[in-house]
Amino acid sequence: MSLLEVSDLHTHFVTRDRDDRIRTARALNGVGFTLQKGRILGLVGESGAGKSLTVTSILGLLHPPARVVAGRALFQGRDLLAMSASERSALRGNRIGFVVQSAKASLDPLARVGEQLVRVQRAHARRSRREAMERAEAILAAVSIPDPKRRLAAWPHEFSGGMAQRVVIALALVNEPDLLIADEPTTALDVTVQAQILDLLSAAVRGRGIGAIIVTHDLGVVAQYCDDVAVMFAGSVVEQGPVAEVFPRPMHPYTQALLAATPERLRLGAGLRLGGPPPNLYALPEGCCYRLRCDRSRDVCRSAPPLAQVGDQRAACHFAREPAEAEA
Amino acid sequence: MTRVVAELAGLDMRFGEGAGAVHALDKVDLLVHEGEVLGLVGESGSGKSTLGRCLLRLLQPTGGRVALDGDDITDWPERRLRKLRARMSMVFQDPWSALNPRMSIRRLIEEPLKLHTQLGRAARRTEAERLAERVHLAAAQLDRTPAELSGGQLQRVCIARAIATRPSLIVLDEPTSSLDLSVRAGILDLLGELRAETAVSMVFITHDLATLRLIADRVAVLYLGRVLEEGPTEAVMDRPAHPYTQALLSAHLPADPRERPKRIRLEGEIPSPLDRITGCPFQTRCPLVEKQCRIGRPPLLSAGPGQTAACVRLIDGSNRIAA
Ligand SMILES: Nc1ncnc2c1ncn2[C@@H]1O[C@H](COP(=O)(O)OP(=O)(O)OP(=O)(O)O)[C@@H](O)[C@H]1O
Ligand SMILES: Nc1ncnc2c1ncn2[C@@H]1O[C@H](COP(=O)(O)OP(=O)(O)OP(=O)(O)O)[C@@H](O)[C@H]1O
Ligand SMILES: [Mg+2]
Ligand SMILES: [Mg+2]
Repeated sequence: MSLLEVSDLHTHFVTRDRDDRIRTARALNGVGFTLQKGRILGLVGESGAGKSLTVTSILGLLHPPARVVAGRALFQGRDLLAMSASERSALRGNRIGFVVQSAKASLDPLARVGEQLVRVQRAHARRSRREAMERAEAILAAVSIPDPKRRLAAWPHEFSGGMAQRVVIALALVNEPDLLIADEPTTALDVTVQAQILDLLSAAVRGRGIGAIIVTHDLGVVAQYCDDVAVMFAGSVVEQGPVAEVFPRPMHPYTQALLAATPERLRLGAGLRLGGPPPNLYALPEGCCYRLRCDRSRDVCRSAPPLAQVGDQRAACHFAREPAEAEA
Repeated sequence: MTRVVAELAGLDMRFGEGAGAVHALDKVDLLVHEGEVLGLVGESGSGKSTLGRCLLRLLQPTGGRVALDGDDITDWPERRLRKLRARMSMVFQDPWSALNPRMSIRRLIEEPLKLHTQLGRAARRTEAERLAERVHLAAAQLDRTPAELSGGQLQRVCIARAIATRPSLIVLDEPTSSLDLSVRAGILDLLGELRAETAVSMVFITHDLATLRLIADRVAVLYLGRVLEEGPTEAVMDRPAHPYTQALLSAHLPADPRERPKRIRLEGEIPSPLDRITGCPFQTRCPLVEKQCRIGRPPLLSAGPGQTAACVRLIDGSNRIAA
């Protein structure tokens, strides 16, 4: 059994316009991927593609007008989307650790850092305050916060951006979850601290056999720390598979463009040609959602792309099997 | 050399008093020239955001001097600073806390125009739309609230606000960290254009070394509130002189799974910013540490043309960590 199996996830924003007509933004359109125990999955894709929305949908953290309209998310065999809110919150913070993208804003500004770490432990386990405080200190040290004992008494606003981000990681890890979902967990960290945090995470994954999803724009993080990768575009996973297969031989044209655009290869003045306007979620093109940006697009792309598979690598594209043009 | 726009001299910033005081900046000297992009890198918690806030006088430093266009603004009251605010702006590290959640994106972008320009309502509206377009936001997103945008989209709203009044000094704190590469390239292009048009000076705080190489003319490396190294971007990145800079650059993760980083692993504790340090702040983790590193504060020594580093081992050239 997979640790997490997401299939055919659809999330919409349903609103009424000024003339009281219903408008639907199709933000997620059948997202699907699986995560096995002992593995790290990297979730990548352009800004606005729906990465954060995918994880908040799975965890039941959506706010209106966002709504999951279809899909399954099996965690250890149980469908997170079919559970009651209370069942889900019993898992969250306990069996499932979550690092939100807005890390700093997610800390309680009115509680000291140590108190927040104690609270999350005692919400899910019988543990004395003293014992919880000791664990809190140990986990702060594990995320490389200098002088953890004294820092337990600090307020969130006294922490730098990267320190706050590490506190949120500590909160997600302190109950030793089976699944960790981390949305941009290392963007505010310098590369040396980033490496320490990712080493810690890898150790938990390899050592305790947990599974992890890392949402990131940093392809270096995916290349060096993730086992699998799922690439999102306009609310769909357009390609997924083992990093060792996808990175050297991307099958989907969007993945090819994404991987070709390493910052080392970008030059100022040449950047804009890469992108293109993000698709309009209120009126997605029929067929392949990437076709308006794709230079290989042909008439057949107006129909839904089939799933091509090579080994464990899968891509949704009519021309997925055709080798990419040699990159300049 | 071009005109100095901003100067920090002996800047000191302490938060709190007595034993619990955090020494966030420890006698920092730094110059920002007209039309230049100064990159600021360094360990998380080393004082980069604090430096940016002191420079724009969003914080009152506890020691030293801040000068803008030759005026010493260290002790100016907020009332007097207000006149300067149109000329300087900041993109904050955390877009979620920086934006009023109840305002529409349109109003958020119009806000600085309303506060600091004479533009009328219609002109502000047009200008806000133009700014949104420049940061690659869709017109339809203008009528949304911050909760309805993704992280990267919010970051672009913050950038649009910061450039709205065409300031002469902008501090950008991790402005591109939650952007994908194509949008990031677009934003870097935009900043480049802005610089060519208005000779704006920028302090660009980032953890992304590749971005730094693209945008910064000079780089300063911070560690525990001190500048450990400073110099032209290429020199610092290709020939890092300080052992900390060498370790930092070595931790960069290649985006190719077949390539393995040759990372210099740092052992040892990071000293607490709550304690006073005698000697070099990197001494507890430096592979090259020796007795004299623990004695006095290492002075900034020349490490090449325009490049300086605060490492005593520069004197005999023994400052390189063997690969
Ligand atoms: N209320 C809403 N109505 C319509 N669209 C919305 C609403 N809220 C969010 N969206 C859109 O949903 C899309 C998915 O957003 P999400 O936050 O998941 O992106 P992301 O992939 O995490 O991007 P980033 O990398 O910038 O964080 C975005 O394009 C966003 O603009
Ligand atoms: N308001 C405050 N009160 C107390 N301490 C503070 C305050 N603001 C910052 N600090 C402390 O000052 C030091 C420097 O913080 P700063 O935010 O400048 O770091 P930074 O270099 O921007 O780090 P990051 O890369 O993680 O954002 C940290 O030790 C931090 O805890
Ligand atoms: Mg996101
Ligand atoms: Mg900061």
